[in-house]
Amino acid sequence: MRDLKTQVDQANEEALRIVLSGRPVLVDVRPAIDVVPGMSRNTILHSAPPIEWRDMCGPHRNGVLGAILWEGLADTPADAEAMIENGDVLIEPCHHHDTVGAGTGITSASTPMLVVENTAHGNRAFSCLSEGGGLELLKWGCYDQKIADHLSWQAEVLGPTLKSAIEAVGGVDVKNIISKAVQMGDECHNRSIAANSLFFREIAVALLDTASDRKTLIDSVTFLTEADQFFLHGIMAAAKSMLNPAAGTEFSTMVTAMARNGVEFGIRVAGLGDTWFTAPANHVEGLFFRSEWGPDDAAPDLGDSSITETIGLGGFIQAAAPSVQSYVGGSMQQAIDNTREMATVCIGANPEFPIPALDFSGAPVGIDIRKVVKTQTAPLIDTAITHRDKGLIGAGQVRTPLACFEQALKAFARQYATS
Amino acid sequence: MNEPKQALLSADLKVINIGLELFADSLAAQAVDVVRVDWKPPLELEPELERILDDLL
Repeated sequence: MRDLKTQVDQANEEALRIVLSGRPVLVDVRPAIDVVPGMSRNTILHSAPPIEWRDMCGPHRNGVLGAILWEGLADTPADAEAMIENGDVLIEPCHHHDTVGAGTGITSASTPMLVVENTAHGNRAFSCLSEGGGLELLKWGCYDQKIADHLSWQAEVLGPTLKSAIEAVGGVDVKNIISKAVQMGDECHNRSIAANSLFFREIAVALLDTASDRKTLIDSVTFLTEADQFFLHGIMAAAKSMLNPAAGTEFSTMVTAMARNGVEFGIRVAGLGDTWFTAPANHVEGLFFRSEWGPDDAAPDLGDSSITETIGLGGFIQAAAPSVQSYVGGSMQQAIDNTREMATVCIGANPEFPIPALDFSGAPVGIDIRKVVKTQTAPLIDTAITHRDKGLIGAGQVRTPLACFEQALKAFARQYATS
Repeated sequence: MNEPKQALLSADLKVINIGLELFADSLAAQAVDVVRVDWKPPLELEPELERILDDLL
């Protein structure tokens, strides 16, 4: 009989093989109600882990209320809150619906979703369209008539326009874009401008060919060329689609999800089913975009976008994106050191995401909870800084708490030590 | 009695730096040859985690 160490090592190799063999392709853009599993007209999704309404941070609360108003489920914030209190609105984590959302992750029935299919494993994952740049968006917990109008334009105009273009080109290979973007200075979390440009290049001619009218074409192209982080959401959905097939790999200690709800940070582990292991979310260190903002204004770490680190991007490959160091006053050497440090907690490397500054060695991938606990090395996440009430106020980096990895390891031992 | 110490001060320094890079950097800035050893004090984990890691890693 194989000893437990060998079983875990072999399970981790298999889990990582499943992830690396994934082929995420952006195949469609559809309203959430049409494509997201378990979605209903009165469901609002948010960034994980699960949290009760009364415990939510400011951006989540404001974002949920905004989505209820935008969907027309209520006429006023007070009515919206009453619906929540009465249980007339279901509030659930994106991750429980094969979905990932940046920032608050607020997703409702009419939200236009990027549909990414992992063609190697036959599963799909979803993320809402990016609202574009700006400090006041629903994804940061803001809501007013201007934001509502923009969301409606995305749902009624941009979404169908992108759908036609993506279908016309037969889908967009997201992994191929990530691979190129990493070699063009993106770490694909805080910086995805290269990925964005590559995506636009893929669909540009199809947009010209399929847009319904000249105004739609100009408005759509204007939006796509101004929204530097647009394709981050496609990358996030791709990451989720690559990780999901590895979930449930028995005996594996590989992390399959990391997410933050502005109060708690949570992880899921391949061999431990759907259980979230949580600990208080840390505060993000970084650059505040206005002089009047500082650490006291910030909410703790927030968003599902750390699915990028879970797939070995973002903070795990800072060496590929030295410009991101500007948020934290770092250096090229620090970025390289950070990437090498992240390799010490990973199962392997991804040769399809090569890092030029490290002699094209592959991105570290497959976080192993054993190594995190053994070395007490907390994974590093590049991310935005959200105001504790609402709004984007900065960007930087944050370490995960270690306590959730330790909890997961103890749970793993309880489940497998006697099996 | 003091000869070995005097020799240390008058001879070229040969340094092995164990751990914190700051010391090695300071010497290197003064053109002193330094061999760097990457080392950290062993971490102290709670006993339950140590036992689990012995079984799993």
